[in-house]
Parts: sequence; C-alpha cells; structure tokens
Amino acid sequence: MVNLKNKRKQIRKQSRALLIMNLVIIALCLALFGGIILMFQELQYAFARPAQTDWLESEVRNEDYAYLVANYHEDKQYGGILSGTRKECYGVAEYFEAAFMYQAFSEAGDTERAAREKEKMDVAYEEMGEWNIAADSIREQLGLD
Amino acid sequence: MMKCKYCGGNLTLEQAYCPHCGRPNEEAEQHVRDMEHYKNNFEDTRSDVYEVAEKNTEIMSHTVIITVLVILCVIVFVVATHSWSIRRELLQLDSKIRQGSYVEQMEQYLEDEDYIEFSAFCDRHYIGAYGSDDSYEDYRLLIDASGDYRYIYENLMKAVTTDSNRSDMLYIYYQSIAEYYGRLEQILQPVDNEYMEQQYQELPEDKKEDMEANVKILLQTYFGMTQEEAEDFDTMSNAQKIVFMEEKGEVMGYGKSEK
Repeated sequence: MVNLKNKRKQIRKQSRALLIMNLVIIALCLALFGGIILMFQELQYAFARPAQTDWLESEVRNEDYAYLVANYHEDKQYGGILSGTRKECYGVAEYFEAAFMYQAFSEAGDTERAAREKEKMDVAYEEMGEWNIAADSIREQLGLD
Repeated sequence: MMKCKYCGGNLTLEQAYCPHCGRPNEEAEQHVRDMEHYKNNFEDTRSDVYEVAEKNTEIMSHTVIITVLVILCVIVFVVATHSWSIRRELLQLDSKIRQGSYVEQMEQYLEDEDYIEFSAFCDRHYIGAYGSDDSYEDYRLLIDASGDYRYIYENLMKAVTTDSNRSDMLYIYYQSIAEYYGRLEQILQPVDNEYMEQQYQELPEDKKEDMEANVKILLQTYFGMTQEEAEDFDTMSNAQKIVFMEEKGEVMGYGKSEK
C-alpha cells in the first residue's frame, strides 16, 4: 500500500514537472520566434545598401543635393546594376558634384580642371533622364550662369 | 507432489479434484487464488514501472528540447545584438582576402585624385578603420586624410545648399568643417611634436598639396574668402573658424534661400 502511494505521488510529481516543462518549451518557442525575426531585421539593417531608391528620389525632389551626394558616394560602393530611377538619381548627384567643383575651379582660374568638371556635368546630364529638370535648380543653388 | 487428505492418493497443486476419490483439493484452490493475486501484483508493478519509466523518458526528452531551445535562443539573440560586429568582421576578413584587388582599386582612385571615392571605398570595406589589422598600414594616413577631406567637402556642400527651413543646422555644418579641417591640417602639416611628424612624414607630397589646395579653393569659392584669409584659416582655433564661417556664410546668404 505504502509503495503504491509512493508511486502515485511520484507519477503526480512527474506529471507536474512535465506540465511546467511544456510551458517552458512554449515560452522558449515564442522567444525563439521573436528572436529570429529580430535577428533577420538586424542583419538586414546591417548588410543592406545605405541608401534606398526612394530616399534618393526624395532627396532629388526636395533639392537636398548635398545629402544626395553623401548618400550617392556611400551607395555607389555597393555596386550592382543601375537602372531606372536609381540611375537617374545617381546622375543628379554626379551633376551636382561636378557643378560644385566646376564653380570652384572656375573661380580659382584652374581652367583645365574646370573643363574636366564641365565634361562630367555633360555626361551626368544625359544620365539624369527625366530628372534633368533638376539641373536648373542645381545651377541656381550654386550660382552658376 | 502432495497427498489427498481424504484418500491419501497422490495429487499435484494444479489438480482441483482428487483423481482417486473425486473430492475437492482445497490447497489447489488456495494455490489458484495465490497465483491470481501474484499475477495481479505483478501486472500492477509492471504497469507502474512502465508508467514511471515512460514519464522519465518524457522528462528526459523535454529536458533535451529545452536545452536545444535555450541554446538556439542564445545564438539568435547574440547574432541579433552583434549584427554590426558580424558585418565588420566579415568585411575585414573580405578586405584581407581580396587585398590585392582592393589595393589596385585604391591606387586607381588616388591616381584619379578622387579622394572622396577613395574614402568611401575604404569605409565600405572597413579598410583602415579603428580595430582593423595592419594589412593596409601603408595607406592609413591617406585613409585618415581623405576621410577628413571628405567630411569637410560634404559639410561644405550641406552649408551651401542650406535653405531657410534648416538654417539652424548651419552651425553644426560649420562646427564639423572646423573640426575636420583641424584634423586634416594635423595630418598634412604635423607640427605638434616629433612623433606625429614621424608618423605623417610618409604621406605623399603631391596628395598633401592636392587635398590642401582643393580645400582652400572650396573655402575661397563658397565662403568668399581671399587667398590670405584662406591661409589664415589654418592658424585659427576651432571657435574662431566657426565665427569666421558664420560671418562669411551670412554674406553668402546661406540659410536664407526659400525652396
């Protein structure tokens, strides 16, 4: 009788332990699920390109050319095939940068380097596609004739 | 073997009746009852043992599952919280493996006098950054100098294109220009002490002159400085540089335009 009682007690204990363990497993599964989502988000953030196309486009639209150039330099190093809006935004950044330096070299009387920058401006203008309307605002911002 | 208590004939425990006199064998009845009792006890014990063993196995398997889950959770959270370190380590490893082609690319940028792309390339591949190894030691000074040059250049652009909506940012841009200008000057014209002079003496002279000349041209163009003022700019403290740029920027109309 005593043995049977002990056995029942032991089985009850084991059942309780199993219930607790099941709850722990559920909690761990939830934590793991959340952790995996967080991990992928963090990894994606860490390894993603620094500038998304819509950022670049919004910088062109808002005439934030200096920020566009900074993002362009960072993003350009990630390589990849350029097309569509991204390519046009790159064109605007290149145009602004060349115009910025053209203005500086022209005023300093360095005609050789100014001519090189002018060439870059012309090439970039072709790249700008539909965004070539930005060229006027760039020239205006930099005080270029 | 036993004897019948009525006729004395030979009997076995399994025989319920005496084969000689036909009377019931009481001990056989008791024996059957005992056997049944023992059998039941045995079955009970066996099922208890099975039940306990089964539960123990379940507990064991649950323990293993919990251990694996805890390990996975730890791995996932460590990866999630160290994603930037992982990226850095991978990039550093990559820049070590591909050192030959990267050096070639860096040389190309230097030959083209494209210090901005040179700096962006080094940033992208974590070359020469804090904590990196000495694989690119020969380029460390150029990496530092081109980084400072790039930040002057970018902040100058930001100042020039600042409109009235963001005029409060101008001070930050001027502050950054002054700070990075000071750092660049320390690399290009090390006068503080012998140690720095030795550290920076290997910087190629043509690159030094080029970067310095470009910065001066930009200051003269976009802050309306005379050549003398651009030369004096070197000797100013950071605070003086900021005040000077504020005065010049005011004249140039930075932070006043409407979009």
